[in-house]
Amino acid sequence: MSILVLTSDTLIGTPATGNLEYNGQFFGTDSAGSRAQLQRIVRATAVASTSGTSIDFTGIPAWVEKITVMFSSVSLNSTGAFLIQLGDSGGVETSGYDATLIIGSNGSANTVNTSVAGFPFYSGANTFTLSGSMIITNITGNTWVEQGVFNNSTTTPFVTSTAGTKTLSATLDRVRITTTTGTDTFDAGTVNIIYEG
Amino acid sequence: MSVTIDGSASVTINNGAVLGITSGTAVASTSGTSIDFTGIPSWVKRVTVMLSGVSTSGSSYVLIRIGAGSVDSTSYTGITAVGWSGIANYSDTSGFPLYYNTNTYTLSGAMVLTNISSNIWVISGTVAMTGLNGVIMTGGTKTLSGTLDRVRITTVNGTDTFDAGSINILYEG
Repeated sequence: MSILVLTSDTLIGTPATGNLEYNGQFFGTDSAGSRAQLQRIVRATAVASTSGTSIDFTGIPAWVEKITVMFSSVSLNSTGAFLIQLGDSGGVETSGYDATLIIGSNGSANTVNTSVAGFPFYSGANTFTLSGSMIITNITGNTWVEQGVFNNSTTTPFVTSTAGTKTLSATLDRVRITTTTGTDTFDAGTVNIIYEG
Repeated sequence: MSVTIDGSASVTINNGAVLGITSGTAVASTSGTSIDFTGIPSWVKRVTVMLSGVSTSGSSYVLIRIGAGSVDSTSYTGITAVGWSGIANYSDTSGFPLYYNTNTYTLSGAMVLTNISSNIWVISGTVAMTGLNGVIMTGGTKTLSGTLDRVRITTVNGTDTFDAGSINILYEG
């Protein structure tokens, strides 16, 4: 049996009744018997999406159960749609997704597209800038589901909503933000992820 | 060794952040032109705004605004669309809008505000519109001048009053 000891040196202050307060990191044993850190939401380092054809966030810990991919005024130099792809130690997986997007644009009929290459959401023109977030959640094993809403507030305002699922071959450790063409380049905005377990 | 947290109390770590999710106090949205949630801690990275059966006295669209020290009502890039048998959208720079509204429709669902970096926040979410049999989708971004500490739910015209439902927030960091 182990005992958790808090000394005066490690206390933030006088704990409120019923609270456990400690100026350090907590680690415990997760349901799989692995050492895991008890922590709040972890935010990665924001990336300026102003160049390149893809942006990768790697080193995502095995204990993560939810990832939020965030866009703030992100645009491309061409007409491709954005794709979010997941990966594991074998690399980013580019097939086997089951995902759909819908575009809500004023006065237009509903536009729906599907993708097996990633979780898609619409861009459609180099003048569009997208903002919003996608939440990717681990439903069980290596199977992940996503849902998200993004907007374009420039010419031809619209909202694009997406949902889908993907089963990886191993434990997720990376997320890639790219495009359906793979050749369109980012030219504005900021992207980032937060993850939690 | 294992550490067990039974959920009956909070655990505070560096910088005063609290592990787990903190709920605000639910507010009956049955009167008034706006509902504010203030005192949101600086370490928060996500705020979820929840609406249950919310309606208003008029047809002005419901808006979500955020603030740092005071509520900010400019420079939002918020777009919202409602999908039913058709689809239509609306944009607003004075807040994140939920499109659209009549005094007979009620709104239920959640909008998630996430801190992407520094004082830049993005919003994403879907809300059901009972009465229209529609779904509202909203996305957007807003850069505050300081650290977010409040959320306001109001309407575009600022004069329609809430007349049904409840609203609350969850925050976590």
